[in-house]
Amino acid sequence: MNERIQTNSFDTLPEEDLMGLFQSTAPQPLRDAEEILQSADIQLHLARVPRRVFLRWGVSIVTALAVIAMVGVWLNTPPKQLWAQAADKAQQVSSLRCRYTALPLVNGKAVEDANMRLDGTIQWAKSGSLRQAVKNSNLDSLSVQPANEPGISIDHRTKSYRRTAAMKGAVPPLISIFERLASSRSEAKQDLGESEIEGRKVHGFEVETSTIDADFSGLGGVVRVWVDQETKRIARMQWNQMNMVHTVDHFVWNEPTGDWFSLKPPEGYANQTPVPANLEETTQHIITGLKAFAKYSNGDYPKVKFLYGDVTAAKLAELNGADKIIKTIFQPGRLLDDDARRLADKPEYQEYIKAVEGFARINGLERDNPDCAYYGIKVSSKDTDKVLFRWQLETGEYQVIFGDLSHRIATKEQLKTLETK
Amino acid sequence: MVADQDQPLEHTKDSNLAWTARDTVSFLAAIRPWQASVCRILSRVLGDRHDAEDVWQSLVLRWWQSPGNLPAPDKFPAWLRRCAVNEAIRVLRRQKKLNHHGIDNVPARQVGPWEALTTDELRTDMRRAMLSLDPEDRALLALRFDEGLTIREIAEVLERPPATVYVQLERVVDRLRKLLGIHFSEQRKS
Repeated sequence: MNERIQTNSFDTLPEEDLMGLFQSTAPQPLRDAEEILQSADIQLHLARVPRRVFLRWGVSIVTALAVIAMVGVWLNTPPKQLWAQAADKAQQVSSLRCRYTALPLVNGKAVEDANMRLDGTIQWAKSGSLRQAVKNSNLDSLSVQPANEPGISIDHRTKSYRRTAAMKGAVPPLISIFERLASSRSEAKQDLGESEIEGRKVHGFEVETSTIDADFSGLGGVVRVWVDQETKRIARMQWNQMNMVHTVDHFVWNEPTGDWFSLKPPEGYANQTPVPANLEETTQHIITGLKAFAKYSNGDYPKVKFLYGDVTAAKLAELNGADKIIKTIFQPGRLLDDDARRLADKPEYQEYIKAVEGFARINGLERDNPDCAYYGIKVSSKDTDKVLFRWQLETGEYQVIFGDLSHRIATKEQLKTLETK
Repeated sequence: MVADQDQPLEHTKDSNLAWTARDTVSFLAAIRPWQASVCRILSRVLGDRHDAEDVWQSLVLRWWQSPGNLPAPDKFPAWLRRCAVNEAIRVLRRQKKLNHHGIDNVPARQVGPWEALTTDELRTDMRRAMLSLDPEDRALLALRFDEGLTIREIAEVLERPPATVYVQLERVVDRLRKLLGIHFSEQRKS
């Protein structure tokens, strides 16, 4: 084919030859879709559970805790003057454990459906640590999330586990809810009368959630609560949400938490924690690129707001002299000969190649990261404590690179302070 | 384009080509047969492997999380390819790289340092010529030459009349020939 192409005009080149030439430049394959899913820190074991079921469960756990908090106050407060005492009492709860059940709601009633039924256990400590076990026909998992620390998610079906990032603000702060509700008012909307739960006499009430706190207007508007007449503690709570009837009962209060929040996986379980994007590697690439640029521009970084990788790389090549090498070795048709190899091994070209990777990463982050900023216009290498570049991490925190190319992880609040410098 | 994430989830009648959100097994089963094709199209239209990787990843995650209203099975390959073409062009627009490079202004480094060193002159010229074309034209060539689609199939992917595709393809092949000729003659002179 090459001979034909060289001896004939391209204008008359047969389409099959053109196609052959085109196909000979076929791009390299990209990553497999499964690999992408695995590396994206996705809970593959939960992925096999229908999303609606998972959503119901996730929402319900949070809801359950909020409801426990609300009713804990309500229970102690029919006389309004007891609100403050109720709040005090609520704050004395050091831990709770309860059973959680969800059943599909059909024609206003909970019905048994083995495929839809969810059974779980919630364990909570005043510190904010949370342990949730859930099981149904598709799922058998345990999630342990100590307060403000990384946790673990265990899948008993596949005998595997994965480490999880610290949970930020996803669990309602029970105690603060107690405090907030101490000044609000609530009334039983309807007296459900006396009944028995597991042999114990209880009295049921229906409470409008909006009377407890306007922010909790969900949950179908009402929560049904049954109180043990002897102990005066909650025996059962129930609410409807998302076509499911959610029930929490079998409460145990103020137990020692012991090893509730142990992060040790069961013996023999496989660690399937996805490999996260290597933050340190990315950071080092970026620092290498910026450092090389500053080296040839009196300590200045690319003075742009949006850093285009290819444009910045070309500028660096001009600055450090790599452009001459590039022009030489990238002549059309030049093969990998010894001269080219020797040129490519030169320090300026190597410096350029390494920097390109860093510029590409900045470019990619500026393009894709939800909260990323580059301040090369106003920050130089002399500005040791000023933020030069920062981007948001999956944890919600920020990776921050300063003018002197030191770096650290900062919370959103810390970042605000850093960016005012 | 990619289905709206707020749309209700629906199965197609052919269970082999459907998945509910986050159903990894079904998703991979549906996607895998077309994965290579979609990736080639992305690479060709974007002209940059890293960009193609980024877009491919975002498409995979979006489709996996929220398939939306999937097309009928016989429309599925065209739908996937259309998503790839549209998304690649959208990304280029966002990057403001939509305007094609001048013929003499194609940065050689876009080929990649070692890759360029090991390719022959014609392949290098072909790559440079491709980068000189508009993304829409690159998509046409990718669909025709890489994927071997007929005019009618390309028309379905791009949602254009077959006659329009025919004319556009003629024009872009002609332009590709001219670009190759220019590169080739320049190189021979040197």
